[in-house]
Amino acid sequence: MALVVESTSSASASNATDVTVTKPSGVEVGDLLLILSGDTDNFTDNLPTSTGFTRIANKSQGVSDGATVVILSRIADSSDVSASNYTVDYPGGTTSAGIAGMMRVSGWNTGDPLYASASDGGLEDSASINTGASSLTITPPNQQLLLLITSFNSYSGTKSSATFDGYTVTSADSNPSWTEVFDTQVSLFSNANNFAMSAAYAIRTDTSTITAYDLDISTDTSGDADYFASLLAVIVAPLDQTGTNALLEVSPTTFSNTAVEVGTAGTNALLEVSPTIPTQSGSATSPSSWTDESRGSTTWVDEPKL
Amino acid sequence: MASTLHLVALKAGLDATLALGTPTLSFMATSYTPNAGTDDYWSDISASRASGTTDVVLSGVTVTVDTGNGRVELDTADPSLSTVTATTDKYVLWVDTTVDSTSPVLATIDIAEGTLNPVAGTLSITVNAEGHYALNAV
Repeated sequence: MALVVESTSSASASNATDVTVTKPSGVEVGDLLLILSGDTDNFTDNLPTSTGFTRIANKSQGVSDGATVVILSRIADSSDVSASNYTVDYPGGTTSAGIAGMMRVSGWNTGDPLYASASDGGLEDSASINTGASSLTITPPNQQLLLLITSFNSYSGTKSSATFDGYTVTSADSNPSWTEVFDTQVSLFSNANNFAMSAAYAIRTDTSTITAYDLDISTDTSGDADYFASLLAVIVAPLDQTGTNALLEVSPTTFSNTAVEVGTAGTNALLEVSPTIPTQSGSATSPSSWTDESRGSTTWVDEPKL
Repeated sequence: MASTLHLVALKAGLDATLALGTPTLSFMATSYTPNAGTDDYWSDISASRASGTTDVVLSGVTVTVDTGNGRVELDTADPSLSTVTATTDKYVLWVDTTVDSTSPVLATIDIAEGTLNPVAGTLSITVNAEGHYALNAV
């Protein structure tokens, strides 16, 4: 399902500890709600917040008095349908910042929508500051919602103000068309318009790799160096992907074996064994020849018994 | 004369391996290069599972003797994961014994389309009609 920016809103206040933003029109359950805001206080604990929203990206530049940008997100439920506005809090103090915008996006479904991001920041005193990042390798697989958000803080010395334009992403395809959500300046302390922010979006259908982004900050140079921070966020439309496989076939390797002959009639050579006959010690005797003595025969007469 | 393995025995061997645990599929990172000699158990390669994905318990697991083609085929129902943002170009089939160091890895299969990049979407495989892989008799 393609991402569509259905509606936007914005608000600003000078020397604010919070800003109340009117809800974008037509919110429905399941919509992706985005809050785009910034701060001059770049301690992580002091970044802008809003109840029920999750921070998905931020860029901070400088020390406690610097420039930050944040993107908060939430999937709309029934309470969002009935809500009228949202409050963005600046925990950093009584004179932090007061610029916020909201976007209602359809086509997202669940979870953290951030696909990729890149950022830049610095401290410069120039009539024209170009902020951006290069050597990027953001390759979206589907249609995208691109967000460019920038903050500018003229925090010391002679104050400057700023406006923003020239939103650009670089890829093999042409730069998409950008729409500003806000380009606003507010006053901090007793200064005039010394804190400025802009947010712009583009719907990009090309899927070529994004290699850079940049935009221009136009300031008045009558002042000291000023902090700035910029952030590119890429939200990709949900995409199902189905693959297939080629059947992996495995064939055995059989090894050749050495043949063994069986069942062949054999022959034998005659085995001749010669006996060993030991010599024997022998003896012989000559027998005596015996002659019977002749006896006359006797005629026996029985004597009568008495 | 022709040397051949025998299909029922091949099936029995694969059945015995699958019976060690739960047949499982995991999508792998594009940086993963399978090594048949060293990637023995899931513990050897689990770190290369594609970020953003979880393991898929396979259903409809069948080991079939295909006498016509002289092979034993391993097939399953089509695996899928929902609401996934990930990058992958291959998947691994393994048997989960509940101990990673004893869970054998069966095969690494390339995804025919190359790299898949679901975004908060469904990541699925339409398994080849013949299955994931086959052991040929010859």
